[in-house]
Amino acid sequence: MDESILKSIAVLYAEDDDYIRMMITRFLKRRVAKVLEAANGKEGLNLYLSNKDDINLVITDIQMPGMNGMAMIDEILKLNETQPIIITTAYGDEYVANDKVCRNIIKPIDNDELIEAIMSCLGYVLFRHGVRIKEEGG
Amino acid sequence: MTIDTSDKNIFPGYKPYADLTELNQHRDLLDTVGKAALERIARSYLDLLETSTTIYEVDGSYATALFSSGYCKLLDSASRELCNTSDNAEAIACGKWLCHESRWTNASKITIETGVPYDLRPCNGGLNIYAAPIKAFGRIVGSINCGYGQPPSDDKTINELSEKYNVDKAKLREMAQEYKERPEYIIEAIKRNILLSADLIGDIYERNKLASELSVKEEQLHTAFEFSTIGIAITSPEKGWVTVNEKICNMMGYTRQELSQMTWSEITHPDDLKSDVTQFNRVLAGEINGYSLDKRFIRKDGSVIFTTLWVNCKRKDDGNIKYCVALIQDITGRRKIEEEREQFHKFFNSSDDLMVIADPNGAFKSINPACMKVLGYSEEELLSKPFIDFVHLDDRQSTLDEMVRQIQRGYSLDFENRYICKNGSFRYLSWHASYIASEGITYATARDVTDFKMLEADLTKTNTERIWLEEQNKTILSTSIDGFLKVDPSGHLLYANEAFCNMTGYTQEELLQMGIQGLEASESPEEINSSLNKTMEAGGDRFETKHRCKDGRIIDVEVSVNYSKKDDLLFAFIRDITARKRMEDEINTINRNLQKRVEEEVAKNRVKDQLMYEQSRYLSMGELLMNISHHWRQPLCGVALSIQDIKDAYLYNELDAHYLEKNVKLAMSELKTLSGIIDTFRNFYVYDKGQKEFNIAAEINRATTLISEAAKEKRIVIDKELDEALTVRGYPTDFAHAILDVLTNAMDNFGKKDATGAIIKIRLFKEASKNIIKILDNGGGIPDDIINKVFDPYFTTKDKSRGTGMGLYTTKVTIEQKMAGTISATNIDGWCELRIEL
Repeated sequence: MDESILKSIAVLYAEDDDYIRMMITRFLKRRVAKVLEAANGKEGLNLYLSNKDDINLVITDIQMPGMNGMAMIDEILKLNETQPIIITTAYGDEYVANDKVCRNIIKPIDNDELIEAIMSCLGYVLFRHGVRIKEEGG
Repeated sequence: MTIDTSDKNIFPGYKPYADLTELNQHRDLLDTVGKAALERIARSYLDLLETSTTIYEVDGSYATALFSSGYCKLLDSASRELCNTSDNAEAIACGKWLCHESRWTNASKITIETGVPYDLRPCNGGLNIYAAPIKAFGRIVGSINCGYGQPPSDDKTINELSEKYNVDKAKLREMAQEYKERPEYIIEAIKRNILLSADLIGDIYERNKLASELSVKEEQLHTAFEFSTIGIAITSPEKGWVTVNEKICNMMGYTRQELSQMTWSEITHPDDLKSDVTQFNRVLAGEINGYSLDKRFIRKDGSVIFTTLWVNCKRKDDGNIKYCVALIQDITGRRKIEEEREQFHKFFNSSDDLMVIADPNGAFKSINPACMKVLGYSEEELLSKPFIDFVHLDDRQSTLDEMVRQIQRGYSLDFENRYICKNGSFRYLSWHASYIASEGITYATARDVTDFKMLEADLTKTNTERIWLEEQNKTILSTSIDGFLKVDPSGHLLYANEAFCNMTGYTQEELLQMGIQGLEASESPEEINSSLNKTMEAGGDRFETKHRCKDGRIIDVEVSVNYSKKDDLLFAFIRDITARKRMEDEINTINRNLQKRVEEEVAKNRVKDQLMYEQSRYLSMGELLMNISHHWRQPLCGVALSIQDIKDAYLYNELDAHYLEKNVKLAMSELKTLSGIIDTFRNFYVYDKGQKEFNIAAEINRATTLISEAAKEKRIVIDKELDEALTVRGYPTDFAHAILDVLTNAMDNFGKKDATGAIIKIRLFKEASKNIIKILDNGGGIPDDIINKVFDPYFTTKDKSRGTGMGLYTTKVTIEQKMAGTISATNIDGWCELRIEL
């Protein structure tokens, strides 16, 4: 799949660490159409609710103050059970990826691995559910 | 209505009505001043005027009403009729009783409201009314009034009045004409008289009120006086009983009448008289106003009572004593108890027998000095541990058995055991004890029977010796299993028994040819001679040596020798101890081997302990790494992203010097954080150089910093309330480690996963000069069956992968051995609480 497909997608990104969020957001913004930033699960869920039709992919940290990533994922999957979700966690052994979650990326995040994961998740969804990615402006 | 007895005007048409003062509910003036007094005062001016007068209570009730003139009486009774009711109260209320209206509503009521006299001219009946308020204690308590002036005589007024009052004109005119006019100066004098009367009534009112209040107070005082449980007396300066209460009579056994004829010095115990009189004389001399002392009185029946006495005097203006007040409390009962207690103490303290009171735990509660004297310990030493610890080892079981019997029977009699004294010797004690089951307390006395026991033993010994001497004959000696020799001072054998022959292999004949020099295997002949001399000087000896047998064997022997001065002979018993010696040697060898094995085992254990310690160190290192990794994860991720971002920016053509500068700055800042974390951890593991005074809160904070990230990860809230001012002397890092161990242990209680709702509370405060640290977690508490084991080494409730078992043990060692504090664990309402006291 061509990376240019990313140019048309919107990503919801939740991460409580300001520095990490800034860096990943910068990385994503160069590649995707739109990045919606959230500092915790509650913010993330609210953004998801108001932009449900636009968001193609959710990337979230697990350990966050207030509503954590797992709780947010549960709520999002209730709204859309086919929503592709990537989680970034500090501990591969401690948080076994939920089977509804597309991919678990262990920190420190490798940008190539992240891109690969995004592509794979979007492709999986396209293949499995035939979900059409909305054409920007089309 | 009071009918004027001097009334000459009981005329036809006059209708008397009931006495208005009967309606008086207020009854203040009426009862306080008195009806008779009020009437007498009223009559003093009314007799001069011959009209009518009224005295009202402050609420308008009638206290007195007098009518002297026929004119007033006629109109009053006529207007009463106008009310058309038989009820006086209704009549007063209806407003048609014109004369009442004139007296009260239009005159006296006004004076009560204004507080000043009022002159009503004219009244409804054409006369005038002068009214004045009655004052007492600065307030108005009533009003007094009186009619005066000439009744009207003109036809017009008579007509109007007869119509108004519904009376016969002719009668009215007749009554009006009958009244003889008083000159003006009389009227003015009477007005002054009315004012004077109001003052007089007020004065009487005040005086009577005060008198009645005083009598109430007096009655209360009297009651207090009479019913007091303490004796109270008023006494004269001459020491006489002036007034006494019932209690004093009961105490002394005399009647009031009898006491009033006596002085207190007469019934004071002679031994206490001087001290009392001395004090009393000081009161008389004005040096003091009162005193208190314990003294005895002799009762009428001759018995003695103990009292505590308080005396205080009331002086006259010239300083001399008016009277004295004496309070006397009977303390005979208390004295008796005190005396009994004192006697008991004397008995307890001076007894040569040991006396003890023992509690249900088997420790002495109380002991008398004889215990210290006999056993040589201090009181603290004897009270510090169970008494069984002082009992001779061989007697402990029998003592414990006796205690059981004692509890069953309730007593012990002549039970003997040995107590170990402080100097290591022991004493035989013969016990008598009573056990009080309801209190679980034992009261016991013991007699030191050691001397008796020794005498008994000596007697037995003397007896034995006598028998031995009597029966010392060859038969016995020959059958003895010990060898026996009779030796002269030069060492020649004069007799040897069969046992000795058997022992050495020589015949008796052979032996009699030999000296002990020939037998002795370990001493030279010179040494033997010198030993013989020494033995004879000392009268005897006991020693071990070696003898040579006929076949050349050397045997070990134990020799007990006595020198008989009388016979100038030595008698020796010889026992073959070769077998015993060999056994002793073997035992020594075994012991040596045992010692070696023990040492080996100890060494092995040391190695094992070392391994355990190493293991525990690895595990704490594991904990440490885990904590570091929690702290490191996020900054590390940040640095990684920064580096990748530089590459990314380059690819996207965004990289310039400024961009690079910004990213490097951010990455360096993250790296500094990482470096700082390493410092924090490294400092945490630097060993203490020695004891020092340190801030407790700072060390607790150091420990919590380390686990903060891990706690955040697990969503465990750490809630601290620390008194930042508290310090203690000790090892700060060891202390911080101990706290870290407790915190790690508490965190582990919440399990591996997300523990939302988990709280660890840390409290530091001062309580009764101790620093208290409480660490609580709501991880479910510790099951009761293991709560006592949590501080044991190698004890863990966690699975192998986590539990070291050393954590709380090392904490306990640090707190209790290094810091001389205490640590304990309890469950409180689902919280597990670790309490450290320093």
